[in-house]
Amino acid sequence: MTLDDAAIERFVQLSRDGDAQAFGELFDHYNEPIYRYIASRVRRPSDAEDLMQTVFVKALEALPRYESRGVPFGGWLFKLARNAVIDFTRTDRQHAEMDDNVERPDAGGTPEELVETRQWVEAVRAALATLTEEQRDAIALRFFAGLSAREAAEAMGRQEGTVRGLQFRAIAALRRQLAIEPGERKRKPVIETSRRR
Amino acid sequence: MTINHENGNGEPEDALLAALLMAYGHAELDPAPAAVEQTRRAVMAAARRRDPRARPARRLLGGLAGWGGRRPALALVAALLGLLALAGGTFAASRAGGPLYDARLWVETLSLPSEPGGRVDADLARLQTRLDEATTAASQGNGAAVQAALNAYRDIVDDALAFAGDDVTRDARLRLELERHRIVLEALAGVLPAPAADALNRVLDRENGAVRTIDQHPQGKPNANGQGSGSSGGGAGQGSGGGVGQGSGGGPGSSGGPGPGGGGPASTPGSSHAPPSARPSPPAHGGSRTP
Repeated sequence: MTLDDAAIERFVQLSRDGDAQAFGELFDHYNEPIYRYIASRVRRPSDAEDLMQTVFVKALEALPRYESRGVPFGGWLFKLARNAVIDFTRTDRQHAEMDDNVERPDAGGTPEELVETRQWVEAVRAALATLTEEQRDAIALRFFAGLSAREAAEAMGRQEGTVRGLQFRAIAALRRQLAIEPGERKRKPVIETSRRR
Repeated sequence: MTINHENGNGEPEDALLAALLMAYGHAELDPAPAAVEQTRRAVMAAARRRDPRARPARRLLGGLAGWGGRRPALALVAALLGLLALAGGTFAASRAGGPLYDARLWVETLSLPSEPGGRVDADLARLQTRLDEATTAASQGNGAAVQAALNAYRDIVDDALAFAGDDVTRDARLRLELERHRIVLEALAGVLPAPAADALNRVLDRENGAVRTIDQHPQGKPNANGQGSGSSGGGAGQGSGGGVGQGSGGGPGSSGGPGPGGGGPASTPGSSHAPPSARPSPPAHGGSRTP
């Protein structure tokens, strides 16, 4: 379900007043991007699920203190998510490793397609692992969670321009890692899993 | 939430790389619908505990429980409210959309069995009652009552789903009822005023999510006889065991959340969850979804 900014604002207000249904709407709207962001940082699905629950329960508790003041609710919520991830990775560092191998169910398709899919997924994962923590955060917030630069900046506690810079450098690094030329639109990326750290 | 399809210098971003990252997100980072359902139930339980509409009743219950035990207190409160409900004026107030409707729903929950089989039966009866209330209110043009009944319906779907668990028989019964209700609900769609139509859309979303969750239980999707087709349902060699066979789209350009180009996380739980067979293959061009 898609909610526009006005609807989100309305549901936030109702949730602050204790309306559980309204908070359910916010959960429905944000759970997937929140999960993707967390999953990109902790890698283990069970940890991501636990953290997603933690984030929404914390949001519920913190909502009475939330004041819009031009800060988008998405940015505020992702700030909670980012803090939860940071706390988690501090206490359990190994979970934050990008190339921690996690078993995931294979997608359908022919064996050749499965191999090809696995290869490009591994290539992207390896390329992401070469980024700095902040660059990876920027990419995860922008591409996996779908935040605007402003929301990502709010979540990261940085200036919007700083986030754009991080994203720009991250994209340049990913291009190099995946051997993608700037502006290229058609070709599949060169799969070189040997680049993986 | 919007994403500008540009890099830090305001230049167009590499479409292939953007699409690749989006596809990676779908392939590796999408949540399992069952996990989302489970988390939603936990979060909603926490939210309801904070809902002020439920507080007076809980305070009363807590006070009475202090006298001599929870069960007698529940019975006493139920009896008192039951008597009140019998009084004529109260009856009208407790109809869908009325000021005592929430209290009536709460009273209903007091007599719900805790044994899963009985609970699902009771929930199915309550779902039918809410559906009847919604259709009656719709025929009277009472949008607020339709909205109230549908919101209650949605909560009961969550409860029924939780108690159905992985049991194939309970899952099958619940699924069949939800499918039947969906036909009735969809028929209401054209005649409802805007707020009630929103509530209806949310109910339909929840129903779809619930059916998908049931289909993903290990028993597999039930057949017309209400029997599971997966391996644990007793069928030899039938079913995939995963029971995932529904959903549409699923390529990197078709499902769920936001992507470069603007928009928000356009997702309901499960609405963007492609079945494994539809998981994305590497994008050949910038075909990522653009909200």
